[in-house]
Amino acid sequence: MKKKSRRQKLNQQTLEFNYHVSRFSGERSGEQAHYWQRRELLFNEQELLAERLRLTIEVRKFNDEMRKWEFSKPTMQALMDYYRTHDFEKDLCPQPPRSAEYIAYLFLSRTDRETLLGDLAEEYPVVVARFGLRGAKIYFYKQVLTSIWPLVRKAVIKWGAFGWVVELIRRISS
Amino acid sequence: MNKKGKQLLSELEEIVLLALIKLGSESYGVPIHQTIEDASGRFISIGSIYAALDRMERSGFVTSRMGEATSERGGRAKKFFKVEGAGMLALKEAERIRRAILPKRRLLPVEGSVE
Repeated sequence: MKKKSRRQKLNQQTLEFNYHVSRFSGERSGEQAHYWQRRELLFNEQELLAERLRLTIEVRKFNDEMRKWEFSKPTMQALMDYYRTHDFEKDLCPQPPRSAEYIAYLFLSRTDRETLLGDLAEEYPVVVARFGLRGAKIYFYKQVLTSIWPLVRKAVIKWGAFGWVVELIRRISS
Repeated sequence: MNKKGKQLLSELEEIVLLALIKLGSESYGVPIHQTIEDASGRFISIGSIYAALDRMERSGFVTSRMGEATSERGGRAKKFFKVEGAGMLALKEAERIRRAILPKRRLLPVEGSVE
């Protein structure tokens, strides 16, 4: 059997890697459809086109970079594992801060919590697009913290202070 | 006029009722909040809007129903609100009181208004 040259090995590895990356991209395209639909509502056509172009250039740069390097088998395996397991959807669709949700969980009843957090989650991508991730997080915290008092006061009037404290202790201990 | 119609509305309750009338059947937290913030230009917490809506629901001015859970809301349901007859009466009563105090409505001109 003829021994493969260094160049042939490199080409084979590149092909294999690109195949896995494209396969991965193909699997993710369905999941990303919802994300793009939401982004299309937020961005105007020109901004969307610019973002898509930027992403395309990034992918091309990445592929060019990959072709320069000859990876050992364990490195290739580690890279492919990373691309298989990493939650890219989380990077693309920012999630509201968990700790703010937990604060709402502690102090608010189920109905109040669901409606408030649902509304804030719906607004969150719009705020991210306008003010960035940091600004959106601050807005989310501000909304949760300023919403707690009116809703707690409402619950205290409804159930009485003692009833509300008992409910709060039950929530914290559960 | 029944007793509920005579109940005075707070400033926020009045604004929320007006927003509900403007939005019609699609009245839930996000559009109500956006309408009020756009009109007032001030920061208003969603919690205070829900507290006002809850007070008005107990007074019979509005009714609510739960919608379906959607993925864009993290699997949480929307709560839709609708103005009832008592709510309309309360708004009319607030307007009547204003007219009784200032019949010709000679208030300070508001920026952007046509006098």
